[in-house]
Amino acid sequence: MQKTHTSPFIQAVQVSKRYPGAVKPVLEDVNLQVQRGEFLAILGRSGSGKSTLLNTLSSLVLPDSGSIYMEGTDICKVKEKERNRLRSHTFAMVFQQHHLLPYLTALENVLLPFMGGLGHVTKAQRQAALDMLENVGLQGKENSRPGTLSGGEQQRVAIARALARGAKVLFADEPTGSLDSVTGDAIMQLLHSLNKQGVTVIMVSHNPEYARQAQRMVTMQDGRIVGIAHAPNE
Amino acid sequence: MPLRANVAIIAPKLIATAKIHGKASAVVGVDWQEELALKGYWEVHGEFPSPTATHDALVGASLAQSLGIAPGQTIQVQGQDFTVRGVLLPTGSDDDAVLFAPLAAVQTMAGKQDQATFLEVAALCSGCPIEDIVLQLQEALPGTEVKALRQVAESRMYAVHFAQDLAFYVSLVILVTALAMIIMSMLSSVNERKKEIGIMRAVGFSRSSVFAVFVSEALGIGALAGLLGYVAGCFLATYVLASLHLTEGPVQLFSLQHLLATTALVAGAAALAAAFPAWKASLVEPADSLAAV
Ligand SMILES: Nc1ncnc2c1ncn2[C@@H]1O[C@H](COP(=O)(O)OP(=O)(O)OP(=O)(O)O)[C@@H](O)[C@H]1O
Ligand SMILES: [Mg+2]
Repeated sequence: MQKTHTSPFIQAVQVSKRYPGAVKPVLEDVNLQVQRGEFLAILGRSGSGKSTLLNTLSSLVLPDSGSIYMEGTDICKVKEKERNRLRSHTFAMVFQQHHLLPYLTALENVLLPFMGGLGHVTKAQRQAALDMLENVGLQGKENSRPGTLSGGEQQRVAIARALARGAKVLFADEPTGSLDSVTGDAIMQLLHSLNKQGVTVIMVSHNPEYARQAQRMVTMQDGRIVGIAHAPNE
Repeated sequence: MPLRANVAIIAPKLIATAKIHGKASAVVGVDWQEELALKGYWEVHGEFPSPTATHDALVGASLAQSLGIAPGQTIQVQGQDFTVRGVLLPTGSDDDAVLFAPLAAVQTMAGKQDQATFLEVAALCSGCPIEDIVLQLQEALPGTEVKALRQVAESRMYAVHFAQDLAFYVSLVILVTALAMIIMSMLSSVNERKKEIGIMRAVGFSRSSVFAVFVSEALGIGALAGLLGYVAGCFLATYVLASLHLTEGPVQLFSLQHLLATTALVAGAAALAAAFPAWKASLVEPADSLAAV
């Protein structure tokens, strides 16, 4: 891996994507650079391709053409095993709907990425999960199932799961979308504090106020990036 | 109409008690030829005595075991030497507990020349008019007790074999049906759980891990099913055997080896049936978990 201080942490180069059967491409020649430790917000109208861009950056969706570089390596060209490893170790994802497994407890959901190899969960991993649940303010709820938790609490479990294994990048797709404003504010605070701890955050949001709290705002329209704005107070 | 033509075998028997190796035992004097024709289902360890031998004996399974008698051995019955030609395999009937010897020898031994305790008569025909044969025998032999043995040993053995065959084929059909149902229900469960699989893939599960998750799920459920099935089957079999009067006394059906083998077999079959659905599951893309949003 080529690592230089000047090369961006994550970089999308001429990324295009069209879903099978669709007439128009969802992404058209998108170029984007994300720096290490950055807090980036992606804005745009519904259907403009925000989620698709986020998912190509996180390797959940492979683009039709173009490249996604992570610390200089094209993650679209590496073996699938390598992408699995990235998703279990380096990347973390949080979605509008928290995507927890309903029959697992909060703690087990946080431990899920550790179970990918079907191996035994170590004591250290368990402790990391408990620490992370406490970090997001869920101490005492470790053994609750998602169905018995509030929307905000479920989102916290998802964030804890995303970060318990020391992920470096957090991809968040409308993390506050299903929450009321007070709970949403709390989740945003949590994301900012994680960002201060060194986690790179890439967040899709419809909420301009939350987007403005980011260091940079990328605006999308019809599958293209039409504007990049830096936060005024940065 | 005389039904004599229907009577195929007439096996006379004299029952006596005698000391064998100092232990009081039942000795049955038989006409070898008739007896062997009647007991076509007998199986022997060793050989059957020759019809003309005068001092050959055949020993029932449980008697042989309690006296420690093996084929080829010479035993003393009331001071007379008999050569044990064979030991009967267990029949589940009274035959297991007695010693069979030539009729003439037993008659001499018991001092009952030309006498018999009873005659076993076999009528070999399908749909024999048993009642009529009994009546005619009764008329021909006044002062004799004539009884129809409805549960003739042969039909008994036939019933056992038939039940065994039937059970085997029914089990086979049930197994195949069950496997097909496992495949169907797991396929639909994979469909329902697409989102869930997508989550696993999104947090870094490899395709083979997803495959393993589904196969091991089937393995676990299969093992449980095998365990419960075996225990339930034992209870059911005991009940059925008792109600069919196929056996006398309680039977020991449960065995740990069988339990383990059944559990392993069912678990393995379930895992095998789960392979295709699990493979389907492993094809789910991580992005599929997002499609529903
Ligand atoms: N898996 C898919 N298969 C086919 N078409 C899809 C798929 N996912 C998204 N699309 C289409 O691609 C376009 C962009 O979708 P995308 O989810 O990226 O938009 P978005 O900007 O995130 O919208 P929103 O704000 O509503 O979440 C939409 O027209 C959508 O219908
Ligand atoms: Mg979206």
